[in-house]
Amino acid sequence: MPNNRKVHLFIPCFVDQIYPQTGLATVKLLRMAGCNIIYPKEQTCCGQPAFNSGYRETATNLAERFIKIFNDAEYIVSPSASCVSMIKNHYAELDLRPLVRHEYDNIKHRIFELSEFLVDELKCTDFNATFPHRVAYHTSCHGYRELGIYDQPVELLRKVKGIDLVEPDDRKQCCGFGGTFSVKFPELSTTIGEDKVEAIQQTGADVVTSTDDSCLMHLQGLFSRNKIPIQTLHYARIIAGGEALI
Amino acid sequence: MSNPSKTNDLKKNIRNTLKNRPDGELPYKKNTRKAVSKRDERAGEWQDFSERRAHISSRRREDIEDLHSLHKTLRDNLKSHGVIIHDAEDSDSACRHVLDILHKHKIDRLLKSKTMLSEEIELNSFLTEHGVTPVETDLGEYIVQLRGETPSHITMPAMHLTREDVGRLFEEKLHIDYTDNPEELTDIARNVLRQEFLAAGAGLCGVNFAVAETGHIATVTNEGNGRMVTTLPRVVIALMGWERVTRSLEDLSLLWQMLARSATGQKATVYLNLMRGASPGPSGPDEVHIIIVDNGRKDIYEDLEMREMLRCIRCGACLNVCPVYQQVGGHPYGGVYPGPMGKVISPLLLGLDNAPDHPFASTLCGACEEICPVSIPLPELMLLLRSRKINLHRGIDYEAPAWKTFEKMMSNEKNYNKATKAARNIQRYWMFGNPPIPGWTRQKDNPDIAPVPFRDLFDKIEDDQEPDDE
Repeated sequence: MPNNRKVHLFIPCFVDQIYPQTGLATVKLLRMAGCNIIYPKEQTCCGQPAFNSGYRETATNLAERFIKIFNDAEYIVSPSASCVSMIKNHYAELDLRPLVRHEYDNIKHRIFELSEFLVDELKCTDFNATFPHRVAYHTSCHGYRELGIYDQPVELLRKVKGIDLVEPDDRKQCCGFGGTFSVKFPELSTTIGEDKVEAIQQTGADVVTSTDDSCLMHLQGLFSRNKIPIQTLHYARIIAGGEALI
Repeated sequence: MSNPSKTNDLKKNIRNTLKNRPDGELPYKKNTRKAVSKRDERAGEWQDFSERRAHISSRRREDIEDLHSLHKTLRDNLKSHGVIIHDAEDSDSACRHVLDILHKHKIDRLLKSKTMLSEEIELNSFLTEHGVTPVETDLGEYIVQLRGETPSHITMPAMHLTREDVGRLFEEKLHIDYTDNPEELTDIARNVLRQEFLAAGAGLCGVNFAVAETGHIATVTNEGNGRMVTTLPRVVIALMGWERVTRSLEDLSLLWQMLARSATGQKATVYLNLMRGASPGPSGPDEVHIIIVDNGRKDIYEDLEMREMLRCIRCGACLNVCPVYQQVGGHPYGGVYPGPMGKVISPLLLGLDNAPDHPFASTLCGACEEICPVSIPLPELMLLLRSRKINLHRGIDYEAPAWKTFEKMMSNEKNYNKATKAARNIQRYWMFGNPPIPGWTRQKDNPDIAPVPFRDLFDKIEDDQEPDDE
């Protein structure tokens, strides 16, 4: 599937440090789709944790840094809907310097969550993966409500051979993570998460997948603490890695 | 009997609520989810729902933008129908207006239909202190009044209770035999309240909307008590928030349908009461008063970033769909307005100092904005209030140094690599499993930092163009 598009990769900080396999899967899929990948090493954090915690100056500094690093990108692609939405939607709420704002206006239409890019931009949906498991798809709030992403990852997953794709009953319900919310209101975050865990268990799935490793990190913490044998895997890993993962 | 939280320490209130939750199905969780599914069903009946929502949102936006001129028109029309207008700057002056009217007529018992504004200005306790007995006639309000509580929800005041709770309450307070049959319970309340209606000298209602062009005072109810409160007594007082003005009867009709669908999943409420001044004689009150209450609303109007909040029509849909509200109900929020709309409006009405945690108590999932019939961007407003809170407490903020460190770490690739390497080493050499993370590891396991970060793995695969999967 050659397309020769030049893609700047944005691997959010926590994916870089905790879920590098999601990053590798992203690289593999983009290369299978024929993209040329550029990975700017200076990248760190998009600033979302500071922004959501009310520290707008810190968020603005990190946003301006991000915009500078990715300024000349033709496409920016990332395997995290929440971070993409931070850049695409919330940077607009920051008090950026006029020159940087101009650069931002240029890049904000060129940033995509991975499945958006593969399905909507490249029309690539079949990566010839096999994954014979019952997989519950967890809808990420930021992906669904802030970016309108739902059909794209589901379409990619439906093409996987052997997969039994299911959804929990409360599919539009938040998992309770909420970034720094989970640290400020830990009991509440966990309680909301426990309802999600129960809904996922009821599907009989042995794997949960999503567009966001952040939701999955929260759910994995609950599965593992409560000895529930369900594994969390970013959808990119399922599509890129298939059977070999479990 | 659970007492509502009077303190504004939201964090503590939430923690205590979760700790003391009874086993079994929680009424607020069950009732909110039921309300959302009914709402979704009704919304689905309108094929053009999103167009209607956009239209109503923009009409309501115009109402708010034109509020000052709509108020002029409204006042002229109210006066021409003989309505006596009072302006109240704050809670105290609003309460005093009510008391003065009652004193003038030597009335010491006030029948009330449901009004959250009367809760906001704490009218009941004010009247009680001044020798007037307030009597709630909305069934839910009547129940929470008997329990000595405040409403836990803005449209379903007793939604935190089961029918068994209500049965036990009536048994104890009204000295009747226990029953938990909803129809029997309603009959019991009706019999008690009927006597009150017939003897009442004055009634007080809330105002869902006042129609500027016609001077109609509109009240939306399902029980008919609103109509009785505004027709049987000789003196009627309408208590209205300053922003509750809409332009025309046509707009009222749109708002009413949207309100009913969003609040209870009804196509229309059972009653829409339109009052237009006094009608002396057997068919209506001799005197109609309206008290227009500011109590912080004009400040919200002047606050351009927050003005959108004045569009709120108090349907309660954002409470029902909120993952936080569903877990804890309304009482932990303290104050009057819970849930997402409360997280924005409480800090605005009470001051951020008095509700500092409210805007933070959200996962920012966006369900509230999605369901809001007038498209208020609630998460965006919460985020703005978060940043205002940080600026307000600058200098006494214990989190600030941590965020400075964070910024330093993230502003430079070298710092980032150094810090993440240190974290990796702490994890590697920690002696007892994983190092604890405050607020995280008490109830769930923390994630492992990968042995090699993506940035280093990428170097390895960059040349061979085939990423290694393991």
